[in-house]
This record gives sequence, C-alpha cells and structure tokens, in this order.
Amino acid sequence: MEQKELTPAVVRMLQTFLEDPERVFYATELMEAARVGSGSLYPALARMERDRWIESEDEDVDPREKGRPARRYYRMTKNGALEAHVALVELSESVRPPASSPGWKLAPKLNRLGAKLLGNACGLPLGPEVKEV
Amino acid sequence: MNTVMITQAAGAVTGHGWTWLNHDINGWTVALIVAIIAAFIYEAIMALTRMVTLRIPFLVLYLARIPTPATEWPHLFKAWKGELWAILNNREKHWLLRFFKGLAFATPLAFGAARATARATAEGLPAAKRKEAEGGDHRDAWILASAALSATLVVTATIYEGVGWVRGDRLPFAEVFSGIAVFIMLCDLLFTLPLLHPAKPDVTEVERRKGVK
Repeated sequence: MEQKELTPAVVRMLQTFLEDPERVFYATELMEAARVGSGSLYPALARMERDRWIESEDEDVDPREKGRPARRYYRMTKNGALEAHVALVELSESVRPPASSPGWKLAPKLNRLGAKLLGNACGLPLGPEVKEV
Repeated sequence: MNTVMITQAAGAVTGHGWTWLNHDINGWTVALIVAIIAAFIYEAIMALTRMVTLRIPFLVLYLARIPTPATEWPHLFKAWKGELWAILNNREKHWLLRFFKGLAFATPLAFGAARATARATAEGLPAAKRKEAEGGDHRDAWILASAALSATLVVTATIYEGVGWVRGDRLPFAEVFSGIAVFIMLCDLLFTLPLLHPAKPDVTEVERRKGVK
C-alpha cells in the first residue's frame, strides 16, 4: 500500500488491527473500533486485501437455517501485520516536524505543552533545559 | 307514544345509576372498546412502520448496484448485506436508532464507496480483467443514456412550463416533470463527476515502460 493511500481512516484501521493482529473483525466492529464510516472502510479493506495485508472469510453458517445472511470477517495476515507496522512507522517519520521548526518559538505555553508531549512520547522525564524554554 | 309522553317518562327518572366523571357504565364501556381498538391500530401501524422503515436501508444499498460492475456485485453485496442485516437486527437498540445506523451504513456505499471498492479490488487484477471489473463501458453507456434522458426532460419541462406561463395558468404535472428532470440531472452529476479525475495508466502500459527502462 502506497503512503498516499494511508489516509487518517486507514491509519486508524491499521492501528485497530495491529492492537491484536490475530483478532478477527466484522466490518461493523471495525467501523466502531476505528471510528470510520462504511464509505472509507470498504475501499480501504479492498486495498488491504489486494496487498495481502488482510484476508477475509465468510461465516460458516447456512443462511436458511440461521435465518440471516452470513457475515464476512477480516483478519490480518502475518506479513500484513509486519508491512502495516513498517508503513505506519514510515508515515510517522515522514510527518514529523523538523526540529528547527519556528513553531516551537511561538508561545512559551505551547513550548511547555510540546515539550511535555514529546517527553511523554519518548518516555523521558522533562529535562531542565526543556523547562527553561 | 308522542312527545309529551316521552317528556313525562324522562322526567319521572330520578337518576342514571353509577356514573364516574359524568359518564355512566355505557359511556365507559364504549370508551374502553374504542381504546382497545385504537391500541391495536396503533401497534399495527407501528409494526408496519418498523417493517417498512427497516427495509429502506436495503433499498438504498441496492442503489449501489448502479455504479458497481456486474462482475464485482455478488461478492461485494454479500458482505454488505450481512453487515446491514446485523445492524438492523440488533435488538438491543431502538429500532429508530437501528434505522439511522443502517442508513448511515448504506448511503455512502450507494453514493461512491461501492465504486471505489470495486476500483480498489480491480487494481489487483490483470489488465484484461481490470476494465471488465471496473465496468467502464457499461458505466459510460449508463451515464450517456441518463444524460440524454435528463436533457430531454429538462427541455420538455421548460417548454411545458413556458406554455403554461403563456396561457396564464399552470398545467398539471408541471412540478412533477421539473422535479424528475432535476432529480435525474443530480444523479447524472453524481456519476459523472468521478469521471473528471484523470484516468490511471493502464497496467500493461506501466509494465511496458518498466521494460523499456
């Protein structure tokens, strides 16, 4: 899957899949978990299936016996989990702002907030040099 | 028995027996029967409303058949139908909520997502099967036919309205004509706008270029 196809909806879907790559999802479960609509979900699922990131299978039920149509569930493949993980890391790298961004100098409050977020993301305590900013 | 006798007989009656809220037993019996019949009618109407309402999302979903290629439709529809059925038959939620959720599921598919899904599926196919799966020829034919139809309707409706205006009165069904024309025009626009996107290069063309390099 190309990076341009990694829309916010697709990213949320991948994150949902990657939380537990062995879990199977029905489409509506995935819609609720990833907070995407059917209009974004199905084209994205088709692309993921095209690239063998996920595989789909129909429920093994007899519609006449159950009185309802069979549902289709989706599961991430092992290779898909690996490639999706790499794709998300690459996307994350590509959207990271430059360290010299003037955005950091705009407001002291924002600086502190940004430093805190960065510290949390990196798992580091807020250093004294960051506090002075 | 004349009127005088009736009046005398009525005057001789001192009371009407048991009453409550100024109505006797006969009045309350009639009220009870009417209430039971009204409750039955209400329940029947609500059941019918639920039945009809919960079918509407399926009708909307069937609209997705128009932009979806015939080769892809059975596979895609099977998945959508199962999910929509599950949404509409989730008894834990109120039927009106289920209806809106079903509609929210079916509407995007009917208006664009079905075609996008078919295209995404077709991208993985060999070039020969790809055009068939994207349904290019059928889609173009459908759009051309509906464009011709909407243009004819618009012209007809305009002439019809014009004749009515010249005559000084409104002709019957003028609004219906205009409404249908506008509706078909909107549908036409809906399916024509995606065509304005630049076409992706054919798979064979990409492979050929790679071979040249």
